[in-house]
Amino acid sequence: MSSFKLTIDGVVVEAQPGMTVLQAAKNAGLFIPSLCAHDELAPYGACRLCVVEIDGVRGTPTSCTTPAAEGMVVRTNTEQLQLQRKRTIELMMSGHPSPCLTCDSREDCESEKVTPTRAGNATRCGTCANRPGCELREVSLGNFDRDTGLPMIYDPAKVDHNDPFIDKDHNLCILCGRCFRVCEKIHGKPAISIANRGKKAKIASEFEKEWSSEECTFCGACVEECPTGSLTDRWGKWFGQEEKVAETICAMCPKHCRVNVKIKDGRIVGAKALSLKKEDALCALGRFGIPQIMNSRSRLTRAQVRREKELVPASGEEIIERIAEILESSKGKILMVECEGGFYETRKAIRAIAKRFDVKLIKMPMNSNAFSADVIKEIEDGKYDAVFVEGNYISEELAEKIPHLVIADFMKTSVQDKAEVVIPVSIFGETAGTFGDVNGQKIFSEAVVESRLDQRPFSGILSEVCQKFGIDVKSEDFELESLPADFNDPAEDKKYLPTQMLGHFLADYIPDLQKFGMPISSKKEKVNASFGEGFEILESRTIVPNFHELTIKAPEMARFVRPGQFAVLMANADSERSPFTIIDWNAEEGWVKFILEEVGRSSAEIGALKKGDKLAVASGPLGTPINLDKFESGTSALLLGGCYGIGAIYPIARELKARGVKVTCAIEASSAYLLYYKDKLASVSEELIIRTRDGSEGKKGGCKDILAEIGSNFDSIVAIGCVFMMKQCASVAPKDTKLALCSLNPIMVDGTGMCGACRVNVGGDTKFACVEGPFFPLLEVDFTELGKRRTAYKLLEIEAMPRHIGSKCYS
Amino acid sequence: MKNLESKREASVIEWNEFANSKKARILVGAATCGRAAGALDVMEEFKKQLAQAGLADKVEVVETACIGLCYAEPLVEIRTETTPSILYSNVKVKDVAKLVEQHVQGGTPVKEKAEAVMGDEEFDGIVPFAKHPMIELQKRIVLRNCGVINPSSFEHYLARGGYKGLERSFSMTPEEVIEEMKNSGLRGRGGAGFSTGMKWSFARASKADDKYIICNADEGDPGAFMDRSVLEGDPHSVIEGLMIAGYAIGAQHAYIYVRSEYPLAIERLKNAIKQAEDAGLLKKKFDNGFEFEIKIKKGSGAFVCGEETSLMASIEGVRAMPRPKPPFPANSGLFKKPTNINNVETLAAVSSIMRDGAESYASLGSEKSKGTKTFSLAGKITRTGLIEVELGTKLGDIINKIGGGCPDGKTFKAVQTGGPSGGCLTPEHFDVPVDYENLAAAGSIIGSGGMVVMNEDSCMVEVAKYFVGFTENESCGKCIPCRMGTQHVHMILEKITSGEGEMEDIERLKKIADTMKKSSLCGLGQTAPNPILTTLRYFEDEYIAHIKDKKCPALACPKLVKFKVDAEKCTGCTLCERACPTGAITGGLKNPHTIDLEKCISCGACLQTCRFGAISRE
Repeated sequence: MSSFKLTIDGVVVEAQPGMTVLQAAKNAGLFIPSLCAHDELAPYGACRLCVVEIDGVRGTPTSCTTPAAEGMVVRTNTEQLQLQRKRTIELMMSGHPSPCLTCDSREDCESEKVTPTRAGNATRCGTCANRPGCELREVSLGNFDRDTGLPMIYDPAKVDHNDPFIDKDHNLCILCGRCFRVCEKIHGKPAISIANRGKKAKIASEFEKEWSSEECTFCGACVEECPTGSLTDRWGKWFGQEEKVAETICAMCPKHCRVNVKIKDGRIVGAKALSLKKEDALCALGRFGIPQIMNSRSRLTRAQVRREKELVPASGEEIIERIAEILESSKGKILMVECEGGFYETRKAIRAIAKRFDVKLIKMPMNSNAFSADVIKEIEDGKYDAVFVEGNYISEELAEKIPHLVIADFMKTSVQDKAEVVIPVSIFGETAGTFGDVNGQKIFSEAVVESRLDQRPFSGILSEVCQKFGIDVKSEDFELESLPADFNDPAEDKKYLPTQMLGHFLADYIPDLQKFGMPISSKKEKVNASFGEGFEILESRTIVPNFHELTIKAPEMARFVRPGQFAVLMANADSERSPFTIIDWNAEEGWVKFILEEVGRSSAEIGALKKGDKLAVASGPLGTPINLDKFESGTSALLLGGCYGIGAIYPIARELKARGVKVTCAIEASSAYLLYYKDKLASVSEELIIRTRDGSEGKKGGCKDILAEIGSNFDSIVAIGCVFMMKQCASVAPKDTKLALCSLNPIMVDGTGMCGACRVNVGGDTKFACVEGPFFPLLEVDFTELGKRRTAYKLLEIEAMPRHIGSKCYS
Repeated sequence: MKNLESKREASVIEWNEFANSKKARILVGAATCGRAAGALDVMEEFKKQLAQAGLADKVEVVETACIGLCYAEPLVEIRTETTPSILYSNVKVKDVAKLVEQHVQGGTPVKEKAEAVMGDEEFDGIVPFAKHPMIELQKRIVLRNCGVINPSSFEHYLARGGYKGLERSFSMTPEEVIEEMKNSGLRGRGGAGFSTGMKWSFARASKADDKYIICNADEGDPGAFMDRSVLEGDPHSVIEGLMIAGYAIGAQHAYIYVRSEYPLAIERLKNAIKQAEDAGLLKKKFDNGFEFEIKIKKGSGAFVCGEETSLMASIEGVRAMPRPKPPFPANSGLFKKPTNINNVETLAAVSSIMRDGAESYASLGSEKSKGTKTFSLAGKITRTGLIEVELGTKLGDIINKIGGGCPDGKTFKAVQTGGPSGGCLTPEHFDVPVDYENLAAAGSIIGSGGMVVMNEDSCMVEVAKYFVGFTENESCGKCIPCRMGTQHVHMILEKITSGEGEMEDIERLKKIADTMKKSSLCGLGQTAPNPILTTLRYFEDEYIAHIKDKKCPALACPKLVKFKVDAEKCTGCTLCERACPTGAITGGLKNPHTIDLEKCISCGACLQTCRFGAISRE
């Protein structure tokens, strides 16, 4: 059959047999909005956005399911179709937390906050990791205005962190079915499908069991194809859209799969299969593990040699020098380890050196973590003067028995403290090199990212050693092993996933793997176990998604708190120091209550704590209390609160009311489901005004609009919220208000004025928010600078994001 | 078919013995409806009483199916040597002794329990069945055997002309059979009303090694039980219809997709399929080369499986969701083979049409809607039950003459036809002939034939909410307009019936309904807003009363109704106090009672228990 012609929107286009109308249009460069359609998947017809009109066809068929035919006359954008699409999107968005999309300040807000806030729950685009790559957003923007006034349906219970690697948020799901269709395409029988009916319908495995208990191999294709943020890569999601994709080889098992890695800011932030074909499918490690290993905070980055009794940083030359010394002095009494499945170049160099220096060479299979008993015995018996090992195969006890221990590794270990030379090595992806394919044929992969600090390919070090001794490495060519016949492919079944890499338990660095029952090293388990003395959590509750109300036992703090103060809280001893607003306290009972908005690592860690847990640190009260004397009795005050500010204005309103000030509280939230403390605030104010950005409760708008409307009626104004909200308020606040304050929330470390991280520009002067603030004149703060300073550690903050797996928080 | 002929002769003898002899005999209607009313206990009681009277050998007790008079269940027919068969209604276990003593032994019918005398003639002042008000206007073709034969008896079916339609079909080419179907004017009785003959011709035209025919017995509309009754009462009529359809389109395999909530129907079908196999009708090659097998597939009670592509997905063992069309099932259906789907009633009609010829069927009904249609009457109607009338019968005749209007002197308000996909009709439609075209013009549909009657006590907003709540739960969730649309309209209706509605909600409902109609993937979503649209069309004032006056005119919406006790009339009997589930009523013996409105949930239990009319609503 040959190609044929049809008319789409008056344009005659050519189509190939088998094409749908949507494909024919796309082929001709014509755009029809669609979400569930996917070039590699069979027509599905669920999102109903690609509706068209076709002469002679009743109604408005979906172009993704209608085969194109000779002579067809198609219209894609009539008024009727536009209206139909708009309404469908409105319905879709009423079940998808999308208040940002109808917010009048969206453009301004998003230009300030270029990346979404790293909150626990995606309650809106502004806290959704997938904002940069969201297809839904792209299709919806400008296409609907919610004039039907539908309420937004959001249920925090629909967020699921129980499975390894994949965060599931069913609130965001539009049931386009791409996930299970791609699963079916790759695996034949899909591991997931839609469970339940109607409003309870959701993507799930059989009987809604955990995916880790089902047939799912965690190939991640579903995550890749999800057009919304409902299925996300827990580890990589906050990095945003990759800048480029490069092909490399995964060397975590002998199969040596080719894999596309996603690169952003020079680091590997994700991986995906080369195609949606079954033969290219990745295993859980290939898809999700690679970036976690690569970017692990346990990576070894410094080269060291022992001088006297100390290990000290060393240059490449020093390392090679020391290795050469050891080789010469220990000749004949050397043990070297060659890793099967490792870089061909490394193995070749090891073999060459071994030959020259009369070395006992042992081969370590890929998925192992200890030498054989014979070898251990030999070492214990002092048979070897020097041991060269790449990886983590030697226990600390054994290391004691080795006079010259040379360790090359990609992760830090405690045994390295006992080595004479420590070499940080770069691994696949960071190193150009050769592996064997399934048939033992050599395959070459480029380095796709640069290695960090002193990290170098081990082969590079070794070949320099060879050079030094004039050893010809080339002559050491050897045949690479083909995949053993009994090899079990982890891409087929997750039970075949390797548990170790170069002697390291992978689950130590990729906690998700523990969900598969993979072992961790016994040392690793102890970390995070205790909080020391700490501060007991008396109550922790989530008021609205991402907002926690935390009550801790802190009698000393409770004695001294005054309204407007904050305290630095840390979940663990190694957490970062972050300030949190105090909203209530009781000196007699010895407790202090905080409002805590989840915006990153610290808040997420603390938010995950439960009643009875302990905070490692709670230092406060800090900051200068709000000067209540400036609010005179009988005058009027307008307190504006957004986000955590809704909670923060509460103690101020309460105190002011007690002092006879006529308080009006005005609060804003993106949508009705993010409003809280309405009753509480109403009880301490004459009037409570509510605005939501999507108009789902109160009038549409924000605090800025309230301030613009009625701000001049008040003697004093206090605005507390995100930088953007306060900036907006500052832009409309009456210039002649006697007292207009805001409460600033810059990055803080010590909270006592020492580090200077919290510096803010107020009226041209530099102030330290932690001691001189947090309250400053609203009209004098340079909010643009504040906003910029707050993003200074963005990348580090993303790297440090904790992972919630099940009820555990790994950080 | 020759060996069937010899069987038929024996069957006719057996049937005459059963139906037309003077031998004493008791028939108990024991379809699901009868059983629910206690028919099996009654049957056991008859057997016991007869045994005690020493009549066990002389009087046969036979289980039959539903004759359609559901309001009068359990139904029992008693024939003795001296009396014709008398149909007794509402027979309870305690009535059995008298029936046995007076009628079976004494030969005198128990007149106060007698509903009719079977046949055309009066007996002892008892109205003949043919003149019974519920029966007189009916024309029973599909229901020809229901409640008449023993549904487990192949011979009964055979004796009454069974498989003659198949025989006649075999005397024709498949194309001629299809032509005959076209001429009959039969339209799909599942709801869509598409010409059966046309549908078959598409499947016939599709070339493939394997073809399938599916009988859709996934009757899911609330208040609809036509298909169940046919399957329980006359399973062979459906099997014969399937075979004729299979012959016509060239299919070798058939599935009957029946909901698992119909265990009796499944049992009867299994039995009938076995009988047909034993008789050499199935799984055996006929001389003309036709070979056919029928499998039963049990559904799991998903309404969306009534939609043909979902149904096929379910048979294939995957999640039941509608698939886009094209490809149409006639080209690529079950297991990607050409497939034809017909509803139970359609197939039962097919066997009759092929036996008696297209002409006689086409002579019935209205111009574009030929033949007869079964309806199930349910809700606030005097004679609930299963009926079959000519298409074009006036709505008023169905409601008032056949159904006997609303019970307890209440006023008829509306009837919902076509289940959750249909709409409501009002007294102003009493003169509308019930056929496909006229009902569509009135904003409703015939659908599969459910008719749920509402009276003055029914709140139409509540009714719409009920049906939308049903589709909300039954939406498969695949497409956005249906999944989200049903949720929103249900929430809005909930809001209105709680007295929290705003006038904008009416516009909102219309907008969402429009989107659902135009943009939904399958019929479920496209028709789901119909109950809203028709109630809005005919009862907008009720919506407005809820919104503006915060009042439910029918006094049915719990949140808008206040119950109170008239102290004058209250005798302090404490009945209501004891009936109240929330302890809202207090007073004590011989004191006038009062209702604490804070605690009252407006369930109406007090109203129902009060014997003195002291409880009122407003």
